[in-house]
Amino acid sequence: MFQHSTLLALRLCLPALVAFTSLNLCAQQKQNEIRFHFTVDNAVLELEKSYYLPAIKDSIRLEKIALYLSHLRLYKGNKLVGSAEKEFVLLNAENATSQQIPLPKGMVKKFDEVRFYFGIDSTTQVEGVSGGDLDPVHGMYWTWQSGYIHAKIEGVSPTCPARKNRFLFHIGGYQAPNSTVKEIRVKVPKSQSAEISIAIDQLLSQVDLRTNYVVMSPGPKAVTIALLLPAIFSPAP
Amino acid sequence: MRRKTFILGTIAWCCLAFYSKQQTMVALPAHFPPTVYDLDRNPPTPEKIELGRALFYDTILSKDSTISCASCHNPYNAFAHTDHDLSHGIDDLIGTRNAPALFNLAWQQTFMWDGAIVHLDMQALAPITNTREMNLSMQAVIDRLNASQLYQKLFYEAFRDSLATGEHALKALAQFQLTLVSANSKYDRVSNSLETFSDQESAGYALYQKNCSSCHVEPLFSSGGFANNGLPVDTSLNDYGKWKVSGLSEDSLLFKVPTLRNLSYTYPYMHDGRFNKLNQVLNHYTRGIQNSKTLSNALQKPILLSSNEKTDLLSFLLTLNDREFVFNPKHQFPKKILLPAKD
Repeated sequence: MFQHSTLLALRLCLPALVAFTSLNLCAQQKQNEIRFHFTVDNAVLELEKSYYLPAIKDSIRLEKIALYLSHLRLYKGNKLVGSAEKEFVLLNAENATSQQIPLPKGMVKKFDEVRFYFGIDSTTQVEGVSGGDLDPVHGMYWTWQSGYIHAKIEGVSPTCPARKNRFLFHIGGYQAPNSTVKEIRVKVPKSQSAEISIAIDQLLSQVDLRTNYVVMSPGPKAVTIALLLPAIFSPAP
Repeated sequence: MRRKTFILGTIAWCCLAFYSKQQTMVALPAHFPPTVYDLDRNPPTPEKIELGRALFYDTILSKDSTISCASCHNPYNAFAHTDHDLSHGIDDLIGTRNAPALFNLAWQQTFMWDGAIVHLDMQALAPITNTREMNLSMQAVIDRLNASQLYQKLFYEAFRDSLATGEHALKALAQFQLTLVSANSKYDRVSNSLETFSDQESAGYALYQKNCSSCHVEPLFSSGGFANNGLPVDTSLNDYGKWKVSGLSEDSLLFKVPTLRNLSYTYPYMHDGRFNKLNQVLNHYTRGIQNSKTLSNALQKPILLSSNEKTDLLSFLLTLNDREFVFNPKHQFPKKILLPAKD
């Protein structure tokens, strides 16, 4: 049907056309994301590294940090403009990828506030097993009772009188009056992506490790620690 | 026009057949209440059930590969643990309670003697990770399953994904356990007008209704709730039941009301297996109840039973035994999967 020369022209141009179009699409579909960073003194925290905390006049070394965030939503001028596709996110200090939360492709609206929950809502807690970040294989579900462990913060400090100077905070609980689910709002520079820092040093500076170093079940102690959490989330400098 | 009708009809039939097939995977007796478990969230299929059955009987789920779920939940004992007051696990370590019988789980709101577990999917995490039972982390379980060609195949057949995950393993285990339905005892056949009680059994039924039915509600023979039935505390165990989970003083000494079905198969009785014989249980109720602040309202007045009445009551309780359930080969060790014939 087509003349030979037309076919030849098409054969030469088509790949270029495809490449050009896909390049354009790529430019439009840059991966926007929320990136969380566990920090000490505004620098990215390294596990197993010793840090001096002036507030407690002693050093700490973190061995494990894992925590659940859920229902990440994006706001501009107090209006909802988008949300993360992943409803439940397990941030793990051992795994940098876990701290990068992708936002829907093609989402072009900018936002100036990120809202989310620390912890997992009670409906999800009781409806049965789920996969992905909620899979109990991650070791973040209490096996001897019901419910997810919203945060595990484990480490060592000479201040701590426990065996091997180890502090162990397993913060959880989804039922009143000991629910540790907390809403957190972080104002961020207006953009299509955001970087949020989680100041672990700020948290541990407010806990007296000489007397409070083990929380292994839901209860008032877990709630006290959970109440400290919203303030330690801030836009990364 | 006819072809359209035929096609639509075939589609409708397929949909209906699939729906019916799903429902018959887990038998739902007509005289039972609606299930608590959301079957739509974890729809039963033959492949998932068989995977769950393999996992239930496989000692690979324990640290030294000696203990399986069936070690404490024995099919011939209606999936209870007999001969031991307290169940024992890995390294012969003795636990703190008697493993309860497993059946009719789709109708249970909570699991464990103290109600610590609120969903069947999550229950298996407790014995698998408990250091005195199977002592293995879920991550280690999943690693082992993923290293096994057999399980890669079973997971693929069940979930169209050969990669085992905690979610899939737990869902499969739940599905197998959901198939353990016990509803064909003589009592059930009498309920469905297929048989009649003997005079003695009828007398026993009347005594049950008068003295036991407020907690052991038919047809499940448990309210699914919790009660303090006046058992004196065993000071070598100091087990205060539901109080441990809720922290509320009104829950002190409350334990889950167990079912009265299959009693002949599931001795010893009570959360700590302190009674070997049903006669001892009845004697507890007639003269052994210890009063305390949280003693069940149903037991505030003494239960009076003559010796003959006890015999009648026992004969009724025996009508709750479901022999067909206990000997059902579909529930037993899956020889073909776990011990295939060697050529």
